[in-house]
Amino acid sequence: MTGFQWATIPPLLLLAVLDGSRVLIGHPSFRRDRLLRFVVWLGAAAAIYNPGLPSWVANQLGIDRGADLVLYAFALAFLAVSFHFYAQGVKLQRQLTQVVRHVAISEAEKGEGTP
Amino acid sequence: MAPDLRRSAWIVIAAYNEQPRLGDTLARLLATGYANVVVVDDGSRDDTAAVALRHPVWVLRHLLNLGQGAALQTGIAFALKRHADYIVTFDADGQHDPTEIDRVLAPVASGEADVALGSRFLGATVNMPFARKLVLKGGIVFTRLASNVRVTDTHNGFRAFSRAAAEKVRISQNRMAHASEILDRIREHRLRYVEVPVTIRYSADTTAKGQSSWNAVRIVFDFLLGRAIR
Repeated sequence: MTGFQWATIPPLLLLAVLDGSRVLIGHPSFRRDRLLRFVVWLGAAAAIYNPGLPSWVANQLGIDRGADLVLYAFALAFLAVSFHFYAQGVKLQRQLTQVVRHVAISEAEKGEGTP
Repeated sequence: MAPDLRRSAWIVIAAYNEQPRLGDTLARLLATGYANVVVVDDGSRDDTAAVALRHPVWVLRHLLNLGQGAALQTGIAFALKRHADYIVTFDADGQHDPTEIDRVLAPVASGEADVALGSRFLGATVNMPFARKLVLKGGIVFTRLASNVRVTDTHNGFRAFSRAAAEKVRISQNRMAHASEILDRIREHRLRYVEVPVTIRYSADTTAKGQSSWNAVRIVFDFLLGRAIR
């Protein structure tokens, strides 16, 4: 293995083990996210260990080069992550709205703003 | 309209930076005899709340500016807690005519419909900018495609709800996409609705403060993504 492979593959495998073990024993509500991360860490480690692997997968999918496959995967991942954070923002905003609404109604019921 | 309806119907007004216009709107509204008016000051930076407090109305204050949809839902939730039988949403900026509340409320009060939606295109408009008309017409087409609800005016803030309908139509879209969301909820809960002709008066003041036509893009974006996020 090259120096780069030594520097990157062990940490990626460690992350894969951590997320993989949590898939089995962790809280069920985060299982899907952890499984996804497990696959990403493992896939990255495999691609770095065997640089021909992305090209082989790309050829199986009808894409010319492995580099193109990685680029497409990044573009899709970027969209998915953007939507994930947007959704988190919307959910947080909804929770904030509930708090602001509760305060507004409570204060009105206490007599502030009474006609 | 029967006097008891003027007590059992609650008028909900969302107000943001409406200090110059709200006083006149409330004076004209209260002159019609509706006793229960709730103004939700949506985190205004001016003295909107102070203006409202000079009138015999309930004033609720959002600590932050959340948007018209959030303010309307706060007012509706408050009215429901105070045992409202009917709820009317009404704009703060004086574009709506308070003498038309009776007409908007009538189909709901009679039991003919669960929701009555004001329509400026069945009624009348005064000084409506052409760009605004174009955007609103686009909104009609969009609503037919997205929600499969056939209405002539999708973003009219003049509406009446029965208590049962108001409990079902829970607005989660904080900003202007709430109007599309209400129509979506009507379809989802199979509520009976009618459109009622109303008059909308635009002035240079309200047009300047109102939504820009480009905001329609954001409304579509918020509505479609908000629908995907439950």
